Amino acid sequence: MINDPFNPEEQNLIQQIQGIPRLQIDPTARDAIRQRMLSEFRMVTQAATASAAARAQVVRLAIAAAVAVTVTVIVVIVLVILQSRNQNTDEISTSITTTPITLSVTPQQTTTSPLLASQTATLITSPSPSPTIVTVTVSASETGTHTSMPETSVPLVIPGPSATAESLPTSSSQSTASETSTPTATHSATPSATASPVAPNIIVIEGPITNIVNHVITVYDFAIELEPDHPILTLIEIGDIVSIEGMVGSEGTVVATVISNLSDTPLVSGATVSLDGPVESINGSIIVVNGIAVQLAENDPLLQTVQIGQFVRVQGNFQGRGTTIVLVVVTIVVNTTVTDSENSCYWKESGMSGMGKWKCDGKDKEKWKDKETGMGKNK
Amino acid sequence: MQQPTEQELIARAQRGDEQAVSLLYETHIDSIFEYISYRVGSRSTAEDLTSEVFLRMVRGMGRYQDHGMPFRAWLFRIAANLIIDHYRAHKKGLDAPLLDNHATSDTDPLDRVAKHEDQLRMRLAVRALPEEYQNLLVLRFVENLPHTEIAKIMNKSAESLRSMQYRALKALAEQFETFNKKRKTGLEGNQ
Repeated sequence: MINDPFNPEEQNLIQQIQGIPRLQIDPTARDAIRQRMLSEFRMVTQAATASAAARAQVVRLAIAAAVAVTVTVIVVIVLVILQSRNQNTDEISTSITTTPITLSVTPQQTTTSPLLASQTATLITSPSPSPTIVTVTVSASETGTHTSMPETSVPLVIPGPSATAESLPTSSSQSTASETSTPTATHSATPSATASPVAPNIIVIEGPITNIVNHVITVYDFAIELEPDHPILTLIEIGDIVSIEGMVGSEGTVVATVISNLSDTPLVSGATVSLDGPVESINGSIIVVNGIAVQLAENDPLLQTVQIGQFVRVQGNFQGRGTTIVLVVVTIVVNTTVTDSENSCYWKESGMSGMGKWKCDGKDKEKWKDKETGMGKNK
Repeated sequence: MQQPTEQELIARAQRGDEQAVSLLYETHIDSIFEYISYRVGSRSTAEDLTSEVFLRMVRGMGRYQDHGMPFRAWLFRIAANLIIDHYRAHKKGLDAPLLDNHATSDTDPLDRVAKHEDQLRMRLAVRALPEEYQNLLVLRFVENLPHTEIAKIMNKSAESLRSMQYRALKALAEQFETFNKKRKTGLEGNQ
């Protein structure tokens, strides 16, 4: 067994070591140690089994938790995807693709507005991040005093604005007016771009008012909501041609931010509103015409001569001044040609062949009259 | 019926087989007790340490893997560590070595006493050696373990054990001679 080379002295030592009698373990102690060992072995085995069961339980719980988390993540992802698809669907429905859209315009209602020769509304959208300008162009032609009230069926679905709307410069208005002798029943508009659902959409609608209910007017079937106390509500009436800039509100109505009455009088450059009426009061550089505060320049020479009761024609722009809206004058002239001082009425020219209408106390008297012949009708 | 190998017994024991544990116990109890009793001074201590070795065996059975460490070597290593811990805890010097007074076959009482004294001096000489030398000499020449296995137990290389074995035998010879001189001096003093 031991094959190492040893010298005699070492071999002697080794023999002496090996010659020492070896102790034998006492049989009682042997059995006692065995029993103790086996008892310990049972405890260790039970503990190991319990530990394994606990580990298995932990593993099961971990797996269940992982599955739950995974399912949750998948559900969230699916929801996100579905939402994204819905947005895409909205985009698709919102977008006006390169396919031309035909706006069918059919005579619906006859009005007495003599001015309208043709109306144009152009729908222009742009995908740029800047406010999207949407202009609807609808051409309608008519002759004489009959005006076709276009029934527009414009599939215009524009998401609500998500940013501050910006007013469209007046110069961008696509409105044109010209006489034409050939009535056209159907008109078309070709969108030039796709509306962005993100950028706020400013809509410019120009056309005849077909309905007025409180502070909501209808132009080309667009319900356009104005401020309830907007002064222009006292100036417009059904049939008037208006230019409206606004945004599509949450309920689908267009909330107007700028509205101009284009019907009665050609507007000078830079003006959006024309107002005729008697001066009701003068307070510094502000005069009140038909209940509307008109802001003149501090050094306007008219302030030196204007008197209460004089009829003036004011063209300018409405501007908010705190809680009130004033008409800031671009041009103002005293109209001394027609007065009806007895009834505080004045003749409001339409600008066409002497046609016009009487307005009394700033309100339409609904009296149509040929100024020169005295012919007309009173309602 | 063929006897199961030690590896099979270990595998069964690791699966909770008490019979396998008992067989492993019976296989190694004598050598472990012998080794421990050679290194400690009392039978009861040897039995306690032997019991602790097998308790640790069953506690560590699930983790035991034969990565070049035979099961016997693993048990001897446990025993060696327990002996070290025992001496550290008790800080004892040389206890009276355990000798089996009935293990000699000599019939002459004088011869029997003389031989018993020689064995006692040898045990004292062994236990006077450094820890590593004791361990090596007992494992090598009492338990007859090969160098490779002792190397596993003592966590040393087989080559270093060979040189250590040379130094241990040399130290043992010197120590044994010292005890012999003391004995002669004592006898001369008595005369």
